[in-house]
Amino acid sequence: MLLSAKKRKSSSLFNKSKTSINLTLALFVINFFIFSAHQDSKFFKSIKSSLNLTSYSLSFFLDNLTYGIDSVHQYFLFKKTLIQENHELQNKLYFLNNQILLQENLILDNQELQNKLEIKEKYFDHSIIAKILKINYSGKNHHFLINKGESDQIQAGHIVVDDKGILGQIIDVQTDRSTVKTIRSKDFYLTGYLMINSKPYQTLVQGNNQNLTINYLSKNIPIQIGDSIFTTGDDMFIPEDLRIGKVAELQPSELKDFYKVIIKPASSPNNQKYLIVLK
Amino acid sequence: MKSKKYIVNNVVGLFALTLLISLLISSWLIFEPITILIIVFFVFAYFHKKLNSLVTILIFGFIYDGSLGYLFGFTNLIFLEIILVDFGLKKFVSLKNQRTQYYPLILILNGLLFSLILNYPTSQLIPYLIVNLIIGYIYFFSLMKYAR
Repeated sequence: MLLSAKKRKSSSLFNKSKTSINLTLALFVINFFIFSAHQDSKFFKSIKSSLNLTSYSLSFFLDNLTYGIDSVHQYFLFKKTLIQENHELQNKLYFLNNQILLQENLILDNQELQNKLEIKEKYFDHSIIAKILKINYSGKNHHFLINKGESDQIQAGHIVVDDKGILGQIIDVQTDRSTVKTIRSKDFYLTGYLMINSKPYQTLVQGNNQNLTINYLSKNIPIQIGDSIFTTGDDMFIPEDLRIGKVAELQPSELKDFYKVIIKPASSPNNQKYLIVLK
Repeated sequence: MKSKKYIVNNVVGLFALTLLISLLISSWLIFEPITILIIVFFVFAYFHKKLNSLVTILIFGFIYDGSLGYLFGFTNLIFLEIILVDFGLKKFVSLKNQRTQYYPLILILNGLLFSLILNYPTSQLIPYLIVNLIIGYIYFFSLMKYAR
């Protein structure tokens, strides 16, 4: 215990005999007069102002402390605001960059469309421009979708071309989309002719998933690498004289007197967004 | 540790500590005068520190009044009233040892009530008394533990 009896016994709690009661009373009365006196006089005011701590030192210290804390708080608040603004500006910049990219894409699209329209007007009266859809066709190589279908009078068998040459053939038509099989597809066959020294040599061209091949071409034909091959056309869908590609390689075939000719297709669907469907 | 002991064992250091704590509490409780700390200091210094010099204690009271902006004589009146009550109790009441452990607390409470007579604080009397008594109790027992 803090106030244990033993300790208190030794203290002089009740033995204040030295203090005179008369003196205490006198001091009490004097103090009471001072307390009840009019203390707004200059004398009291000067003493008070010299002693007063509350309005000067401590208040000053506390005020400045508050001000200091406020300043630090303001600094961190300002920093936070700046970081937020920076973040927002970066987002805006990102958004604007995206817009620029989109606009550039639009410009390229427009150029390509214009190009296709020119081709359409120049060469193919009955044709329609279609857009390649960015959807994978279900599991087949060299097949893709375009955004035109039955509603645009597209039929299976129609030929699809780009600005370089024949690209493929429509094999399936739905209401608003169609499936195109490219000429590189392995089961794609096409009749074409090689133009060598202004003389046509008719042949059958087949896709091999990478390029086109002429499986058997007589070695008597003076073929050279770089010779072009064109479509011979049929009575239904394939028009004449469409560029198919160029001779890229001459390989020996199983038959002694024949070449296996590798043809690099002129068209490239990977670089296109729009195609022309010939009706 | 030596400096700490010196502050709390020295009456002047104790007074400075009391004044500082009073200032700090006054800066927090700005609407009410906190008189309990100086009352505790008076009781502790007079009865436990054997500071018999009334003049020294009155000078302390004078400085305290001036420092905190009270009317001069306010705290000294409380102190002298406590001494007078102490005289009266000794004269008219015989206190047994078993009860005397609460004697300083009675004097402190008496001083606090007398300060209310001199300067009736606010309409919120009960919260004022509770806050003062809690602060006084903590301060007095801290002094009893560390400053005897």
